[in-house]
Amino acid sequence: MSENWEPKIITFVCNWCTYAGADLAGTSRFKYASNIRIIKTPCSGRIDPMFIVSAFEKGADAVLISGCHPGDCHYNEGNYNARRKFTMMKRLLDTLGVDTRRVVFAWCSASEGIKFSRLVNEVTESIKKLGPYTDYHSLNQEER
Amino acid sequence: MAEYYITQSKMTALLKELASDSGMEVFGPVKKGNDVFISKMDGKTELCLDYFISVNSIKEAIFPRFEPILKYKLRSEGVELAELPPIKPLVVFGGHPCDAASIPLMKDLFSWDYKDHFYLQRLEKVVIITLACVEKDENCFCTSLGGSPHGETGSDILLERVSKDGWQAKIVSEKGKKFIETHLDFFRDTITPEKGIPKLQDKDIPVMFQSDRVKKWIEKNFDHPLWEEVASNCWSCAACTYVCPTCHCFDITDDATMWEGVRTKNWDACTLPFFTKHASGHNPRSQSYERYRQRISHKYSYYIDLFNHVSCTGCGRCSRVCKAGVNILDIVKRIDEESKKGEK
Amino acid sequence: MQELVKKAKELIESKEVDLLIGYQSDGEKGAKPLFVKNTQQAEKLIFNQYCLNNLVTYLKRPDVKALKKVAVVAKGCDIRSFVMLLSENQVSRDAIFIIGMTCDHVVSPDGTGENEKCTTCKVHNPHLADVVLGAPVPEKIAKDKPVHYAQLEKLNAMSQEERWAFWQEELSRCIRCYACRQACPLCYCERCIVDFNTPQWIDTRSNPRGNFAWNIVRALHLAGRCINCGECERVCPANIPLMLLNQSLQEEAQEKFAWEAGYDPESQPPLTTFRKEDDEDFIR
Ligand code: SF4
Ligand code: SF4
Ligand code: SF4
Ligand code: SF4
Ligand code: SF4
Repeated sequence: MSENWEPKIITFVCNWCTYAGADLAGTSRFKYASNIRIIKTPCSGRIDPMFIVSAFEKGADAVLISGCHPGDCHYNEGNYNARRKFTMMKRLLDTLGVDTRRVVFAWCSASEGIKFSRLVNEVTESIKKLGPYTDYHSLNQEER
Repeated sequence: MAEYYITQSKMTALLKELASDSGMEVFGPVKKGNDVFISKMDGKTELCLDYFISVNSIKEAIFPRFEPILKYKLRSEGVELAELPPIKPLVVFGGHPCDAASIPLMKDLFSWDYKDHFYLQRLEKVVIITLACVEKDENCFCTSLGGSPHGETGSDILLERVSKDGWQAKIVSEKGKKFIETHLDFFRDTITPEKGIPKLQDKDIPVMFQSDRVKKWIEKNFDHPLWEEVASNCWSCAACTYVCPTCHCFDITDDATMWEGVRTKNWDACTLPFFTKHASGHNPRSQSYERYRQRISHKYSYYIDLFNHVSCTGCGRCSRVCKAGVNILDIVKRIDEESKKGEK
Repeated sequence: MQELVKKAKELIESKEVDLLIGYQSDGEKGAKPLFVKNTQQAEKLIFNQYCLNNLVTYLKRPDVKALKKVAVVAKGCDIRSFVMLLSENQVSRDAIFIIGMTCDHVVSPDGTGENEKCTTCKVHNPHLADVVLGAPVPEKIAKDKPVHYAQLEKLNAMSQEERWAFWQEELSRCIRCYACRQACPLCYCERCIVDFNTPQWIDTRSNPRGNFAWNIVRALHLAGRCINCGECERVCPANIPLMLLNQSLQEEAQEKFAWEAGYDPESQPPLTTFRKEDDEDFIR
């Protein structure tokens, strides 16, 4: 691992809660690590499990997924459905030997700017300890 | 001419030594479950020398499942071509005569209207070491297509079993000769042929149809109900085509970002549902049996028009892997019967 | 199988069905699918412990769907996939005539011994059929008893690194023939995600990345739907133990959502519904 390696953490958030929460963290000047790349989706229910695969394929060291708390979904049930999907995805990744410490799920509301910044910092710290996800990145072979 | 022999243990040692050389590629038989696969080896691969026939053919050694054919980067000055990986010398061990017999067929195809230098370069660099057959099953029909369980076509070296532990090595080509001379130490033992070592003769695999008669029928019977009857259980995968030594279709795919990309030649198969799907949504071969008809017609008719040879070596691999129960020999025999009826 | 041949002839002769899909023998110790359209073909019908194919898979095919009514010979496990097709609105009950066969066990794919799936079977006697043929077989496992897959234990006991290495080795043989998909009764998408290219979700190259993504997506799309017929693994020419993936998700569905697929056409598959109190231990 090179001295100045920094983890890349792809972060999928829902538009209504977590994105607003991240915004709040910003406007409140809560400091959080610049390792995350936020991708906004309409709802956590929109976050296809294949987004996780795609992120790792393209070089992510970790994936962070966050939506509204249960009961708060802008579309009422999106996050409940997402929760079931992610339950299955997490088990499958685990079965396949993917390092699931690198796939983090969270609920974070529009008012939880503090939680958001803490979450990002904690995840960044833990991924820094784990190092780059070379196992997954080594799958990108152009020749046999 | 000098006689050459090699023991099983020496063969294993030789292949392992070659496989440890990063400048080479070596393919050999590896066991998985009850089956053997011709697989790319490294210095640590465990070889299996006790098997009847591999599930896959030696095809993928020379015509890889996927292969980069163009790599580029976008620079402010324009497009910059990146270097492609070099095509390494390779050794393929463990196929049978029905594998090797595919080589001239594939060569004709890949040097036809367009010279596919990826295939042709590999072909120049490959040494094919073939095992003459000591076993057969009900799916074997090489002799119906001019092959033989101890045929030399396409091989560089043919190994014929002479004892429980070893083979006599027959030099078939210049490349084969050079290979043996380079690794002479491994081929030096003399093995006294043992009695009772099974050996297959041509007559052990009876000729079961006449391919010219099959072609005649295919030419005239595109719409015959027989096609649907014999192939309605096909579920349109690519298992048969991908294990086939002579199926050769490929697709070109691009994997690119804004700044760089790689274009890849990638196996494809006429049996897959999307193979002929048009952008309009129309699919001229919309049903399974139509796609299977294409597979057989290509091999037993269209290919002959182009290259004067059936594009099938009679290895029976497609029948062995097909769990839908589609059996090429049964079908070709049926067609031959129909054709015979028509002649009368 | 006099009974079966008789029933088949009846269905064909009376024109109640346009097509009947059953088994014919394939060598001494084998069977393969048979498409029956006339009474002469019906003579060839058999049923025995070599009848491994799940024939329900043919019901997804456009040319079969286009027919007015189709009969299919099915074992209990195959019928579970039919139940899933019903609950996912993929077939109309009236368009299919199920000839349910009672079944003690079938052989394992290599032709020796009892098939692993039969040791956990709860439907030796067809649970949904238009006619049931064969003598009743005593059920060995109660419907409500959770199924335990012994072969998962070894995988579950491995470390994460070991599992990674195990699967990378296994999946290196995947040639992307899609036999697993084509044989699966529940992979019925007209256009599979792997055939999409704008955008391309799954690398179609048979390289480690593509093979990994493909096998993730196939297993995941069967989550809460797979009925353990074992066809995908049986037809895989590369001998990849796909059932380990399917069964780990079956286990998860059972543990987390108290769900087993393919028994009740009225119940809701777990990924089409939720409970507010679903487990969320893994969410921060
Ligand atoms: S013949 Fe068999 S192996 Fe070939 S495409 Fe059809 S089902 Fe697949
Ligand atoms: S799982 Fe049950 S119904 Fe299916 S083959 Fe085995 S015993 Fe028969
Ligand atoms: S893998 Fe998924 S997208 Fe493909 S056919 Fe199966 S269910 Fe459909
Ligand atoms: S995933 Fe495999 S075991 Fe499950 S239903 Fe499909 S073919 Fe059967
Ligand atoms: S059947 Fe096996 S080899 Fe073919 S695509 Fe599926 S997993 Fe890969």
